[in-house]
Amino acid sequence: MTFIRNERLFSKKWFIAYTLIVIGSFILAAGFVFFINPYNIVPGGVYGIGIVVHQLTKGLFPFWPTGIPIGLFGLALNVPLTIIGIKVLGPRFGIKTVVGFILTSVFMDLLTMIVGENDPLGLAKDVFMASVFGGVTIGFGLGLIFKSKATSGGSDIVAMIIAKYTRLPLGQLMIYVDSVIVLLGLVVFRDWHIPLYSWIVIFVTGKVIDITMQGVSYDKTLFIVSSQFELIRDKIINDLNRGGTFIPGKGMFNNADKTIIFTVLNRRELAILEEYIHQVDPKAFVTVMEANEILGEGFKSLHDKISE
Amino acid sequence: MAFLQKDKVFTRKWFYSYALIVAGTFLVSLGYVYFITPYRIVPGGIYGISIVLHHLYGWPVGLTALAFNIPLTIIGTRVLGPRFGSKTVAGFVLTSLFVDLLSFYSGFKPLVDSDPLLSSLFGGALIGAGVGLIFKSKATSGGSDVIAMIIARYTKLPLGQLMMGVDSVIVLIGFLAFGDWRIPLYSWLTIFVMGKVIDAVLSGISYEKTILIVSDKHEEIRDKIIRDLNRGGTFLHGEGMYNGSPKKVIFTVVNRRELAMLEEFINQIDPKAFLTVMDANEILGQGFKSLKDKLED
Repeated sequence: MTFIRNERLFSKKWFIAYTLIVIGSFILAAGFVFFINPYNIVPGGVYGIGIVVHQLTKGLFPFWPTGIPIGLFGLALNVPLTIIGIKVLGPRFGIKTVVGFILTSVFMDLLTMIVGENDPLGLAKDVFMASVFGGVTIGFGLGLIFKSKATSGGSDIVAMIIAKYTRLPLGQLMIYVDSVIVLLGLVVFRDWHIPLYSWIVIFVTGKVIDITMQGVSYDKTLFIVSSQFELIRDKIINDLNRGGTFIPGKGMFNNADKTIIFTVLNRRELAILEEYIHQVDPKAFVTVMEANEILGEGFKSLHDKISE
Repeated sequence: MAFLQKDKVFTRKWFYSYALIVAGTFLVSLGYVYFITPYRIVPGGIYGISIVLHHLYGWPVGLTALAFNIPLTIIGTRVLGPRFGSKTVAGFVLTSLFVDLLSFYSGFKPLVDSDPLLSSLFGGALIGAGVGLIFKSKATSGGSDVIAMIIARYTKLPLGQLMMGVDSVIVLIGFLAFGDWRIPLYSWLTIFVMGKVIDAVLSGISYEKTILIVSDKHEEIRDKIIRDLNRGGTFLHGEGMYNGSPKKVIFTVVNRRELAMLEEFINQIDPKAFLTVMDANEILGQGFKSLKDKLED
């Protein structure tokens, strides 16, 4: 039962989680209503299928002249998928996941009623722009939902079930499932624009989910090999006010003892330090790596990250 | 002769190499024919020049490129020695063939009309994926890179810069020939996407993270990594720069999900731990793909 994480009702954590879900679902729904649905882009997922079905059922029902509402259809797929998911995979999907997909469907259909389906932002001439911004808003909304530790449900459940039986990696399967839905869009709409715009949306969505969950970090991890390590240490500790660790090493060429400095700096500090190292030891060896995430003294603490 | 890597004929490796070349050249050709040529995008290279000549004089793109590639390879071999193997030759001959065949099939029409931005991105992605596969077979791309190699030999300028220089000159030729500022801008986008996709194909997209952990509770963290996550790791014996106290640094690689579990565990036992998380482009070794697998696939 380690998969379900329930916060105590009405605790601070509970409020934060549900606030994230409400805001995330709203942003997610708005992304679809403003940027995706009006242009028949099919970016995978249950709503992708919903968009296809919406077009196919145009004029079929007198009370839905433009077709079955996309949110409602998404909900109609999510409910059985979640039930099957729980049967096959065990209790993985908590109440937060269910609240998330119900809210998304409700927001999507309400917003559609308010703003209409006919090119609400006037982007019909620039669908490329719509797909980029659709990806950004959808990614941001999903990122917030994931932050609350809810899953997105929907087509990911299909991927999880296939993963269980085939033992293929889940990430790959999610891409396959979404690609099948994208190609469904191509088959139905018979226009190559659709899958290309859809892949742009999927790509941008993935990037923005990562950024939302990890943050954009401008910090760099450094390894410095220099004979002037004492001077460089003083600069880091006294002027930059950062910490660091000495790691003893041996030169591969002649086995000479070397001291490696392991430290983490931001971009500006890096520039200052590089200039300084260049003055005291132009032959120093410095490798700079992009750090996705730094937790600990002088940076965001691990405690902040886990409890947010 | 260390440059020339020959696989023995009809071995498994040989078939694999040539399958990569056929698939790669086909993807490259799809990219040029359906996304790049119809929009007059000139993304550097021999194909860039051929696209310009095609639009000015109606010459077939593939044949024109072949007419450049053959003498360039001969001159390259003369000046630089036997660097270009039969795989390189097979690569550029197949590309020319596919490009001209597909052009007839497509009727010189783009896959999607009225969106050059979309086409420059997807063209770059397809060509990048194809070139990545060709490089995987250890063939070189030939073409304009040979010019850069020859200039590098006589001027001693860095090769990477020269390749960019040669491509930029070709992009500017496109601008001069068509007199439209959108051409170089779309072309640079294509070149950028191509580069990113080539890297992704060659080193793979990895969701693994390299982490360095500095914590006084290193024994407990070690146990968690070894027992629960089933991963290995290395202790580095360091010394705090501030007060010279001995520190153990844990160096390990985990995937995204394991990272979340490990962070939660570290927070419980040592909230003041210091950890830095880096994207690992490629991990080879125990618990991951082995170096042997990589070099033999």
